[in-house]
Amino acid sequence: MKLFWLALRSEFLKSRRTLALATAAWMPALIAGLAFALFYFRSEDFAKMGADPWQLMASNVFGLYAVLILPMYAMVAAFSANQVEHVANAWKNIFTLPYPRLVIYLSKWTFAFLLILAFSLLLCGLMYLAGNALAVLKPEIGFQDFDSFGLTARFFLKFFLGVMGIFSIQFLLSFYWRDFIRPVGAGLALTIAGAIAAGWKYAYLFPYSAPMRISEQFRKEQLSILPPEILVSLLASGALFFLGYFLVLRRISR
Amino acid sequence: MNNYIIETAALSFSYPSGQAALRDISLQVKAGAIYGFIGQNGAGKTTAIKVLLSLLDNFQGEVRIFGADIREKRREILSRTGSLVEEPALYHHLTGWENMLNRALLLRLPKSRAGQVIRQVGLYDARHKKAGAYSQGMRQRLGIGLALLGSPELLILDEPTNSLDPSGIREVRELLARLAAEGATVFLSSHVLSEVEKIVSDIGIIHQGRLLFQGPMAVLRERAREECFLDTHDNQRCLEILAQEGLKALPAGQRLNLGNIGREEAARLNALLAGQGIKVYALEWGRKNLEQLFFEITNSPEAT
Repeated sequence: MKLFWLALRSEFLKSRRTLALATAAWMPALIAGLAFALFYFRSEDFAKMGADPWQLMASNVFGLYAVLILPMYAMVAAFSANQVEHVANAWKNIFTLPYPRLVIYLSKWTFAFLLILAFSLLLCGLMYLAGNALAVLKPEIGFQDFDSFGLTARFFLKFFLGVMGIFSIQFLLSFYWRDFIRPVGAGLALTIAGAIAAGWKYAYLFPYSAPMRISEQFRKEQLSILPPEILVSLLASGALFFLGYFLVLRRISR
Repeated sequence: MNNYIIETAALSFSYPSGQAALRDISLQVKAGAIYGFIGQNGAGKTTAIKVLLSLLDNFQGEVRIFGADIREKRREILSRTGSLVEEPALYHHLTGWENMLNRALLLRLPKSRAGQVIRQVGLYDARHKKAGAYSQGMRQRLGIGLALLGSPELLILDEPTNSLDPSGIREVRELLARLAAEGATVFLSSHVLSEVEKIVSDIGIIHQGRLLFQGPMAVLRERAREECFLDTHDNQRCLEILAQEGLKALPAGQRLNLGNIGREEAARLNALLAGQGIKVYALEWGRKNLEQLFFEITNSPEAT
């Protein structure tokens, strides 16, 4: 456990000045800032609607967040965790450290996982702050009259769990391909395919469709935390973690 | 198998393509030695080093380091070993100091040790520069510094003097000699033979995956016979005269190599050549350097 903690701290140290770490901070701030600005400057329009503004804000954000931003960030986090070793040509080097190989692999995977978690939590928190700020600054919208942020938070959790399948596939692709174009290009193509195929009855089996399908569930207020697409995403993630580790060992043994 | 820091027995390794990279290698590296592992590019040096560092597991034979099997005691062995494999693995977006701190963190060492080593490799003044902005030589020194950080009992260095200028090479040489004097064992590979010759106490010559020679440097030197070299104003004419005398000479750069002849014979030849109007500028004896010996060994019938 001590070694895992040290290896994880090392991952964060190595991520200094990297795109993935910076994006985990500025992207949620940008999205929440834009949502705030939208409601602030069009407060009268939203006030006239009379609908739950928390849900309105969430549906405005989730549209792009689910289909593009979160899957893309999962790709960047997975890419970044591997790329730092590819660029330094350091894979062989870290495997000569007196650490169990599983700890090295697990710490890297956990680092990327935590980046996505931080990204999701930060956006969720900033949206909550934006809503509360609007309750004070623009009370006519009515953020103070509704207590439904829990639904938004629940869906942030669902999106996070739903993107785990994509993350794990991308982690594996980024481990094998040293460049940016192939893993992220393939991921983007699969994400688009997933969004197009999301309505197909078997699409729950395709992890790249999960965010789009969860977005639909938000519209329909289907609250279950573990619908089939999330279950498949988590199972795929678990299986790919061990497959990835097996492939790491195989690569070393050669 | 317990008198050596590194000992391999019948070590063989083939890549998945079927290409044999190591064939029946039996290394023996004594404690406190500076062992030079020399061979041309593609001879199998880096593959052997990867096996020693447990980066390649799928080998045949036995590999024991500190008396323990590398497959069974990987972590214990690696905790006592520092290494540099191929080029230094540096995080270019981090400064030299951050690279050191990262490794110190992983090895559970205090910052003061990182400071000590960065001074030792002469990068203290440049420590806040990003590693990506370092020259090749500075990167190499930082890579060596990372290998030294844990005060390892065994240092495995793959081509450590690569990209270093002559003063950098001398510094590395002195550093390795100091470490060996302090009790560390150094295993280093190189294809720059003249550099190895000056550093090492023991040597192994690998060629096409086979270990062709292994032993103390002094033993290898003994294999270098003393030879007589002749320098004249007309070497071509000289060759003809020597041939008429039934003597065989070989061109060796600007000179002729007369082989292992004695002083009396040399004096006779000198008189003969002078009598034929040849101006003899020099007649001197010398030993082969390691490079010449290396080519002699790797081109011997046993090597092929």
